[in-house]
Amino acid sequence: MKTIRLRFTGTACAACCAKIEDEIRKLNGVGDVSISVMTGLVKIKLDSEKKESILKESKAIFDRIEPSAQFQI
Amino acid sequence: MEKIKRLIQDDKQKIKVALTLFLFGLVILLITNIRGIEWHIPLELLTKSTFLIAYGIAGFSVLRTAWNKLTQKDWMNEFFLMSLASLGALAIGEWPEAAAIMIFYEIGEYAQSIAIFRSRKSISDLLDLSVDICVVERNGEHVEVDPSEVEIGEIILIPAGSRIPLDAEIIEGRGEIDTSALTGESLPVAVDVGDKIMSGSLNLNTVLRAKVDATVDDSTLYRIIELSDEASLRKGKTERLISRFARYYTPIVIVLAFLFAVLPPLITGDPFSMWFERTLNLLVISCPCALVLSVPLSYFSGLGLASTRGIVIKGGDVIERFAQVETIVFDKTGTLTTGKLELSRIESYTDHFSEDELFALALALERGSTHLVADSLRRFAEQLEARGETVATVEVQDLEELPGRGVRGRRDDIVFYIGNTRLMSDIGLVVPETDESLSVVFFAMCSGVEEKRDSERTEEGVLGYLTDVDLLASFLFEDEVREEIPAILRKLKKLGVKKLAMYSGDRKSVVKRQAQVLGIDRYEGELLPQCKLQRLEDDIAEKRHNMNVAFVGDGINDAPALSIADVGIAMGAIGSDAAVEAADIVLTRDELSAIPEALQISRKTKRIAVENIILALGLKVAVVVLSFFGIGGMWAAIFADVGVTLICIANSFRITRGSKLDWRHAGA
Repeated sequence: MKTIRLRFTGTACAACCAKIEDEIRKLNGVGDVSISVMTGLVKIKLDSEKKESILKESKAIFDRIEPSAQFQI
Repeated sequence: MEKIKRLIQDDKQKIKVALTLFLFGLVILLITNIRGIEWHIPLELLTKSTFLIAYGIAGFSVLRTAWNKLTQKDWMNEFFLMSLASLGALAIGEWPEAAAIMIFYEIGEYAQSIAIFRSRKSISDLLDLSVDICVVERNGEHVEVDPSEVEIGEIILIPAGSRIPLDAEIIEGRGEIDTSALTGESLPVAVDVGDKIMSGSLNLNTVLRAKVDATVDDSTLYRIIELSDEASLRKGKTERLISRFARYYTPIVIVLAFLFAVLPPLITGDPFSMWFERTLNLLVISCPCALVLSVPLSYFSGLGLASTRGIVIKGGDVIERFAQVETIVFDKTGTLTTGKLELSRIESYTDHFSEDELFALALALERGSTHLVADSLRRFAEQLEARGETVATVEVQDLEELPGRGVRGRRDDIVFYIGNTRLMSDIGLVVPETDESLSVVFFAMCSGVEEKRDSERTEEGVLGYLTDVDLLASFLFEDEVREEIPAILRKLKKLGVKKLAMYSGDRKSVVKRQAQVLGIDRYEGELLPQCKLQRLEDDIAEKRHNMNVAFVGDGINDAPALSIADVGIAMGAIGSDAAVEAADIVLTRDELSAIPEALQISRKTKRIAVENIILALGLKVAVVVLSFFGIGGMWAAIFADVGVTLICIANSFRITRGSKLDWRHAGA
């Protein structure tokens, strides 16, 4: 497990952030995730072997739930 | 077409145009109503199309998002519900309401994004303090480089009027720096050779030459920025609770709306159309965003405010825990005392010298020393002179510092010694018992034998075999309590902290006296570090439900205590990795007054977060209840929804307007 920090730009609605957190947390290989609606910081604790796929799926979750926030991998 | 597309994507423009059209439509409606003008087809078309265009401009992106989500079989979201509500309003011919739903929804969303950007300013303000170019001395030349290329130990030049690029120690120059952006200290701080200066401070009036202490990544400024950023990720209980609640909120509203639409007409036989409108009211308040945002917004404002006051709080959870603090434990070393000694009294054992003469002699003997005792004697002399008393000047020769023991000097044929018990036993004296609560040095003389110096002294410091040695006096010193501390502690008590405790490695009697001076409830001295930890654990075990224990340390060797306490507070320890890692609150300004301030900020932040929740939920529940009875109608729902958002945001910003808090410790 390792922790990585990423960011999204633009604004997201607070309820959406909570939803996105929930969905990313359910992904296979994710230990924990925390998203700050205030700073746009996204911290994911993940299985380093699955990093690529987790990030791709996370981006898809962002795009689906909150299209106005750009999650940068 | 291109123009319209751009308009719809620009939130501010979109709202402006839609709102203007909407108001225009309202005015026409109003005029026709007042004047009783016949409602004819062209006018009706004009107003309806005005509202419709306003609706389209404001609502297009919501409708589109709702549709996109619907194609992905996701309809449990506020986009869909807002679309449903507004389309429903159109369906029953309420054109102005439909436009208003979308316009005010967008206004609410826009206000939220403004609020977020405004709050982010506290961090971006800190980033603005960083410097792109710094002047470093290399091979005798001054080169301009990026601060990240400067290594520890290099010498930098800081021109007057510029920000300090890296943490450093002054080696040349004396001036003033403005640390207000990092510590909240509004007065300039005087700095001199040997002083440490923090990156991000402003060098005010002279060029400073300084030796770099830390790389950019380890510098105070970046640590504060990093900690503030990271703090937004640590969520308190309230925030978690509200996020969880939000998950159920939308489904609950949908179920309620459905029941509203179906049940009452079936039971009472009311027309469906009557309840259809009430159902739409519920859909209007279906977006939980303002409610969910209000908590992190409040906390983030609190964290931002604290960081401008030299208090780095590591997260919303810390704010919540500190707001409920019941016990504060102090690690005495350095936090409560100045580290200076104060001459309390002189106990004389001789008839040959008066007390004044003893003092004058001691002062002369300590002249060259930098020891705490010497400092204290000099300060005492200054105080005497300030009061108009004269201190005699005595000539002494052969001054010598005896490390770990004291000093020695000669006047005519007499050799004088000032030092600790160890020195006294070196010269063959047994010292009397003295007041245990005070630090003591002894004053002795040796008159009988011309001391044979180097030949008789061994490396261990034994001074030779002396005869005619007399103990003249003992000087008793108090460990000076920081002047402002008693008032700060009283203030903490006033703020509702039940218990103050001090666990120290110092002598029991010293700790006891200090605790009494300071008004500390529980104290213990002569404790080994592991015992201090044990006492802290006892306090944690004793605390009441939902209350917390804070530990205040200086960050040196107390990482375990900082981490086991509910709230670990490290004073002036931003440079220490271990302290920053273990602590929950790091004070960049080395002042205890930051603690009551942090407590006030935490309490206020938490209170406002709770207010926001109650307000937002209360208004939403009120809309549901009023709608049920058919009171208020759609306008009430629309304004309640956007109103909640605006009030919550305004309320959160109240945190940063700290005028209601009195920052100084004047309250005591």
